[in-house]
Amino acid sequence: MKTKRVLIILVGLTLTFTVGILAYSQMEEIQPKMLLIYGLIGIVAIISILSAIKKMKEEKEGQPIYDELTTQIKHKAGHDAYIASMYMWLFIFLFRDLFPDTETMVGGGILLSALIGFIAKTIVRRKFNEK
Amino acid sequence: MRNRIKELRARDNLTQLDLAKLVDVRRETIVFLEKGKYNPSLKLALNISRIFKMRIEDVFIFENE
Repeated sequence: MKTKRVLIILVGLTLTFTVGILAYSQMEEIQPKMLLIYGLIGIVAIISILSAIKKMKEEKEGQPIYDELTTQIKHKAGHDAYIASMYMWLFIFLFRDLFPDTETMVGGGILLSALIGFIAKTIVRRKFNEK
Repeated sequence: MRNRIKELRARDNLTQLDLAKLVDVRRETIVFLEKGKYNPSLKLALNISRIFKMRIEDVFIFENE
């Protein structure tokens, strides 16, 4: 488990660094659309790094990584994110003319899926109530 | 359903983290339980009751709505 967390941190740091360099090198002629994509990549990478660090700290404290509540939150958020992602892909295909090429469309969709997953988890965590 | 976890934890001088470690769950789960935002599984409810050396129905109080 610890190896997985260290790997997530390393990949996240590499991603943030690469995106930072790319954005900096294109600073003068960067388009707002590309800036948005770089921003999204940066947000996803930073969130994964912070989450992995938090989990490592909790592991050191002797807390389990998963228990019955986190498993339930994960399942419910996964379901909600899946439904939301389906709608997102439908809209992406409906408005596919807005994208300059297929790579941008698919890449953007994957990034948005990650963001939807994170948002769904945050909402479920906040609203979780069996009543 | 309401519970007396917070009150019993104070009685036994246990922090949320202490109780979480004793019943092998995350501290977050204890926070959710104390706020009444989560109804535990029977296994977790039994484990918590055993820690406080009480019957399950004295820790978790079911109220008809």
